[in-house]
Amino acid sequence: MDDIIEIDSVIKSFGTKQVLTDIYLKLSQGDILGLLGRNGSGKSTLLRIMFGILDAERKFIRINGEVNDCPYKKKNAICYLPQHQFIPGNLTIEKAVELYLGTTAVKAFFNDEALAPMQKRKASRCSDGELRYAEIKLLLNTPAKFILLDEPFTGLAPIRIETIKQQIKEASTTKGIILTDHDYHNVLNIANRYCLLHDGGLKTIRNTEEMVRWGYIPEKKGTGVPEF
Amino acid sequence: MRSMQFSDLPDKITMNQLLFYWTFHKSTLTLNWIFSVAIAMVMLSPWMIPLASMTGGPLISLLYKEVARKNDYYFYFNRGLSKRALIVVSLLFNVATGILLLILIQLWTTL
Repeated sequence: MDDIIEIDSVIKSFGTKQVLTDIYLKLSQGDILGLLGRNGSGKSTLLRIMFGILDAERKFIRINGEVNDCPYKKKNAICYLPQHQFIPGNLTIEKAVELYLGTTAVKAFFNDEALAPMQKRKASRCSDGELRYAEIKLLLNTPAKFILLDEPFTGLAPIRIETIKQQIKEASTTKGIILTDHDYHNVLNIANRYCLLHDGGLKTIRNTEEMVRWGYIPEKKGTGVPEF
Repeated sequence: MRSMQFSDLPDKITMNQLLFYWTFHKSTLTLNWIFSVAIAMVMLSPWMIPLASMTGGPLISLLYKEVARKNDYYFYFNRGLSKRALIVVSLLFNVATGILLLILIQLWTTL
């Protein structure tokens, strides 16, 4: 049976502004869900609520039908890539991999031309792009059933973006993945479902016209927006 | 924020989780010990090292983490460890080390 995580009836406000209004989202194994939205539309907030580290006025999270308020505490359930680096600067990348995946996985993990030079380097000595690549690969290799990637492509070189997209596709055979990024060309390119956060609501997107209608992309023709 | 309770302690700690708790604790040590040694030097008392390392030292370290290294917590969240559990276990490590140091200083001063 496929694993499913659902988040239902989410209401979240910051001060007087309601950022999320009665949101429902379902993610299954095999899904790569592109979560789009303008700056400040609540994408990261929704992901952090789903992960379980941010409270909401109201929320119901179910994993395989079972209510779970804090999915991140459930073993091998969910991982979250925040917008900024999360591997502590005092750890070497090798140590982080050892802790996450075990010593036996280290060799295979660093059998990658981009990662091999970083193996013994502390996270604080890596460039933002290098670290981003290592962190995404680390999370995709965990046994977690659901992966939430918050702006994964930020700071990555185009060649690394292509590698990451390939790895996301491979990982999605056993996981459900949500990714959000302002580099929406890449999101559209890889996702197999699309949603847009607009005015606190979550809209399912089926074609480019709907993105234009909800004011996410300009109407102008010839902007290079890929068709679905 | 509610106060710390016994329920903040994890029910069962696996060896892998223990490594994560230890990794987190280690990351708080530098600031803790700098603070504790500085306090002991100001107060001219070796007793202040373990006492400060169980009280003000961890507080300063955790405060620094909260302000400057907040994102590091995701490293632990992704393996199922809550912030509360990390802080409680790290405080327990500090108390254990502090008590051991107090005993050693007592032995040293009585010999």
